[in-house]
Amino acid sequence: MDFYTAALLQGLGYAAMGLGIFISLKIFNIPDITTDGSYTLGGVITAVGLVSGWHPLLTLLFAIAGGVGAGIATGLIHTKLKVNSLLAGILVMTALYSVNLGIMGRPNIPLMNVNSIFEMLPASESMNMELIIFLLTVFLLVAALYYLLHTDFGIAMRATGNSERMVRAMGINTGVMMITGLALANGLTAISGFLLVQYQGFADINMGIGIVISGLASVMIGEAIAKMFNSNNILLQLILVVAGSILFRLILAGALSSGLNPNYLKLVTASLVLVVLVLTKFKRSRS
Amino acid sequence: MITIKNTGHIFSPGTPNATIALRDVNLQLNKGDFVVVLGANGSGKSTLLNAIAGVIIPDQGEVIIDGNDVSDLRDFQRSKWIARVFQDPLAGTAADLSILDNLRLASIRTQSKKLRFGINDKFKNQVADAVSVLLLGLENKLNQPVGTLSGGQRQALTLLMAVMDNASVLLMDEPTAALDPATAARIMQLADDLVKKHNLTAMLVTHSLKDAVKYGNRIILMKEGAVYKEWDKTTCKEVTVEELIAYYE
Repeated sequence: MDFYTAALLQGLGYAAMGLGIFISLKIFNIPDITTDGSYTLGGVITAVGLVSGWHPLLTLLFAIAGGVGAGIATGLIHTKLKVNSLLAGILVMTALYSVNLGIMGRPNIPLMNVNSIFEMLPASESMNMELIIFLLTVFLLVAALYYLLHTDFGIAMRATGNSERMVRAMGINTGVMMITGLALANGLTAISGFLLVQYQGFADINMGIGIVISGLASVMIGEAIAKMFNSNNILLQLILVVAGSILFRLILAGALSSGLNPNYLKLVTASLVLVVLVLTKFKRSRS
Repeated sequence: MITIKNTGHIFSPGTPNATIALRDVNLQLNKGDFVVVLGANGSGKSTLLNAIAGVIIPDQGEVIIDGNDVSDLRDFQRSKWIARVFQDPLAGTAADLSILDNLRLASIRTQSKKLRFGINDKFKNQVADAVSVLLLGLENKLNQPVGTLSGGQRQALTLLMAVMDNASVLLMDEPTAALDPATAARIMQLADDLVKKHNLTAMLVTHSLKDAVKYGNRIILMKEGAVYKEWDKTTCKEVTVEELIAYYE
């Protein structure tokens, strides 16, 4: 059972990244590979900050700022230098590997005896501190995004991925909007890095390799479920991304507990995403 | 009011593919003008419209709207004065957004998009009243994604959106080219009504000579990037489709 509790926690921890991918993929139609790098960046900044004795919330701010910076870099390369968005993400992700290594000074930092986010609430035997913090974070993020996407600015943001000509005719600078969206998406991804590093107790330079696929999976699983409800309610979509993230981790945990060789985990992950992708392809979104 | 002064533009300058799209165009469009721009493919009519909209910034010349020199402003900065309707009936609205969301954006076209809620009951009623004029029954579907509507319905909505927020200029680039004849006629009638009601300066690029004669109170015929012939308010009333078609041969 502990196995599944761990999967639930991971699912909640990665939900912030899922929400970030929801912004970049569903709203802007960009599969943003920067994610691999900004997730690690968030984690790396967290490890260095906490080891240096920073307050966890201050560390969080720096982690988010790192992710936002990475998103802005990708956005600028894509909109100003006219580089294909996928390629722009690959470039920034690659560059971030060196940046992350530079920040850590070594490939791996263990978090021992640090004041982490889990120590912020008074400790209690009966409660799972990690679960409470993760749930609280996810709740706050979903609420904040729900608010944002319903403001005038949020409506403009959602329209940008639909029809660029229409959005420009409405007086919106689509380039700035895209950069803002990628900054937001990668800031959210960095929050996952922040949470997971403290949950697993270390930061590692390779922790982000292929992580974007879990974000894509949560969004797509969420989308597949949303199709069943036939709804375009944004709150439901956001909640389903979180559900997708948890479901994805549970599926992986299930596969591992049923005796799957961990070496094949990424192969199974990729296949799973492909299956969901093909399933949601039917009745895909309107033009 | 729009003034276009000595405007010229060359596509791919300095290459073997260089094309002169506009040569020294001078035009003045006044309030209440419904200017129809005619011309063969490649005559520069769309380039002229795009130069006014700011989609392309011409190599030379000036564009002045209501006394403001907008020559260096990009399309999204000119939306303060200009509303647009596109040839693709799906391009003027955002498919995944509800009718309400689309009209909210249109209602703040000339303003900045802030972090505040703009859709309240008052706005909903205002939108319901506005769309009921279209007689499409959309007032009961305000929360439905626009992508579920037909091309004709979406083009009608685009026109309505054009006048939601202080429009002064309406630019229409072959707005009915992708629509069936009956729908096309309804859309043109709607455009004409809105132009008159809001006293707009309208420019319509079209290949429909019938629409040109019916709705235009000025007709401009372009050839090789320049204004070749113009019919003003008086001569426009007498011109016939047969007369216009002769200029295409």
